[in-house]
Amino acid sequence: MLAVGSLLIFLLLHAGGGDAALAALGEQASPAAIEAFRAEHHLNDPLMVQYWHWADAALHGDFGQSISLAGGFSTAQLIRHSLPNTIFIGIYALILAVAVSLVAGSIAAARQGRIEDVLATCGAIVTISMPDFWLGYVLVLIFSLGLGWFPAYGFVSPTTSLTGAIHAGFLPAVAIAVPMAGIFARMLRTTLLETFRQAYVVSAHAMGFGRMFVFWHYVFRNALIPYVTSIGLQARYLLGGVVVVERVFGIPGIGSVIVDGAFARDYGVVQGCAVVFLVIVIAVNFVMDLVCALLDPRRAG
Amino acid sequence: MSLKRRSLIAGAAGLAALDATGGLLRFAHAAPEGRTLRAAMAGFSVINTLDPTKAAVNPEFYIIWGMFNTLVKLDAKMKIVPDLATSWTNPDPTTWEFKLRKGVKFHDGSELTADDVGFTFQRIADPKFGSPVRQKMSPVISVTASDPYTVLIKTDKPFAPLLTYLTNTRTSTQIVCKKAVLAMGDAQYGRTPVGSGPWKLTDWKPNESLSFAAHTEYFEKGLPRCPSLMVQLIKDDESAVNALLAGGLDFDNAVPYGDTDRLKKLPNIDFSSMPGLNTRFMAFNIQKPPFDDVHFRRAISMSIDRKAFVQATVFGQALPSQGFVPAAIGWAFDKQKHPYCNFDPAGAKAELKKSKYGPGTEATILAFPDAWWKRMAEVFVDMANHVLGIKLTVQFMDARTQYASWSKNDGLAWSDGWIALCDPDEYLFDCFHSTGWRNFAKYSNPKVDALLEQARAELDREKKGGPLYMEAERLICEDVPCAPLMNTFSNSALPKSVKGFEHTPYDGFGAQLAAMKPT
Repeated sequence: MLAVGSLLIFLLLHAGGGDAALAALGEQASPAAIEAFRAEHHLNDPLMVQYWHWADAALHGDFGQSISLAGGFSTAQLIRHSLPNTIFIGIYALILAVAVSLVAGSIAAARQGRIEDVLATCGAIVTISMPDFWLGYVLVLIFSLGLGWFPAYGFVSPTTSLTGAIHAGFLPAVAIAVPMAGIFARMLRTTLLETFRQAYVVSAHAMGFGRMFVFWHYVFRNALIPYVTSIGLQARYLLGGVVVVERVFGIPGIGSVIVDGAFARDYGVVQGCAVVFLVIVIAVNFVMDLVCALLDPRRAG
Repeated sequence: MSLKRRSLIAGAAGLAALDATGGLLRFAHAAPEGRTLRAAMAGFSVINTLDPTKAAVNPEFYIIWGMFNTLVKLDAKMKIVPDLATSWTNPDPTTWEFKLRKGVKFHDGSELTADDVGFTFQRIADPKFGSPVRQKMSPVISVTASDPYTVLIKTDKPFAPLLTYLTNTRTSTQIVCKKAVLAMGDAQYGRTPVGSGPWKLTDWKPNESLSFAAHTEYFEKGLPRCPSLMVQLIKDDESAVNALLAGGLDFDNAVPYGDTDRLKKLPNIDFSSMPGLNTRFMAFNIQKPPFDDVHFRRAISMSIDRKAFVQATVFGQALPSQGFVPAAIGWAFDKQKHPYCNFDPAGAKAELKKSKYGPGTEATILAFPDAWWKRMAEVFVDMANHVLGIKLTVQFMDARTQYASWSKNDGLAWSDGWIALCDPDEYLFDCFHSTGWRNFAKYSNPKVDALLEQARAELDREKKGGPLYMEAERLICEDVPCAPLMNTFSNSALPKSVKGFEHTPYDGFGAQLAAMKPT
């Protein structure tokens, strides 16, 4: 899976055209300088040879050096520096989104068709349709420039100060969390309503269990399984979609590295980041599958 | 005297060692007082190297300007004034003799001498090193030191632009420290450079920020005025404005054009604007139809209402251009009207009649997809189509892919800008001489070639060189291989509480920051 993924990315990058030498040397560079650069970094080799060199080194844990993004820094250094920030913001946003959606989704389902449901459903649609970069600017306008509660730009790494990171990361986490919370809440509402109609729920009611007891023991737990799966699917969005929010708030995350790397045609860096992305997405989905298995009541029997 | 210097060097070396281990330097040395200056480099996040001889793109030079010095420099009025060289003469038209300032210290405490200057130019000329400016500096045939404080530069022919190419701008001729380069090697020097400028690099977080300490032995007394500097690389220029307004920045070097009116009205913000050193244009591939026809090119150029164009693309934050040399280079700027590069719808239609291509002609223009670059191409195409009834369209392509396409002379037309070029020779010779390296579409006019060669050889630039460049430019503007469009403003903003900022047309980021101080 990793091999196929990395090969695809490699080929796509090269299909895009452009030249790492031009990116590094600028448009002032003479053809001779460009040729020297290409030779030095083996950019003239056949594509498959280039890929083989990369894959061989990567298998030995060496992602190589940046050549046109941050010359002299290794790809591993760039990833090590940026990945924790992205993961921190991602988890932060996920916690906010899950907390909000659990409450909103449950209320909407429990009060189906009433005013609470209408409000929650409308809210979800509005938040899903809100572009996160726009929301980012609006949050900055209100909470940093207006009220001065949070910094408008800049990020404190969680490794430097956890409280600092929670404070500086709040607005970007909200900007990412809001549309996600909308998706999660709708997902939860739908699955809760479906579960309400299941025969075993109807019979539990018939057996005379209390409303709340049925909700928690029969409905909620079963409805959580598709909900948790949808969170796993959103991990991709978390990694890729945060790029814009990273830019707005100046978070030095892996999304910015991969975008800058792609523009600078720094193939090695993009490849390295992409592999990390793949590993994370696969791992997150694996963990979510485990969680679902744990939640499944049939597991016991 | 010599004993004194030796002990000073030893002391500095000792202190540098302490600094590396414990950071006691602050107690021992009289660093400037106050807090860290926080500057934004807006719109950029990629810095690949800080080795001046290897550097290629503007953001790299913005940082390099503050860490290095050159033989001469430009002042705010674009006059060439001393930097490392205190005086210079021409014993003959192909020889330049520079007298160096004495006692200039690199960040490692060693002294900058003629030997370092010679070494810098050897690196530029070395084909193996592959400096992006090797071609540009090829008129220089030798750089020698007759004593530690005298440098002789010889050129193959009289070469008047040389002085500009030795200034602390986008030149790559910043003087490197020979000792440090040899000790750490070329690659490492690009990451941990040692210069002689006001700022000494202490930390570099790729795509994020760079930190600097004041170079306490800097030769200009009283500079830098802050003990340290932090430059944030802020790709999104709107975010830089937000950070400035929220009090997180002391300087924003590139305010987006759409934000200028808002910032001008704020009482606690100093907004500064002047025409920059740039020309934005539409280049035509004169080898391919329909742009192989001079009448068609003239018709398009005359169909562009440049005043309205400036309003529509950059909210009025530019001067309309009718030539290629920007107004900031006063001595070579032509005020005489160029008929084919001004708005004239009737004239445009008349030229189209003379052309082999009529209304309905189709062609695709390449453009950058970012911000106002996008509008630039769209407005251009719209204006030309509206006046002439032709069918131009725009194809968006990112810069790297486009550069590759131009250098192969692939596309039909593309919009671009020459940015941070300080000499008329860079605008005219490099782009329009038949041998100019930036002349991708192979424009060739023997009269233009002759005038530009003459201008290059004329060492009395202001009196005699300027008129030659203007005459060449008039001829180019009749052939319209490129349509000049506008000269955008350089816009900076800072809180009123920050003092000492001096705006220059070439955005002397590093040098400007040395004189600034938050109060």
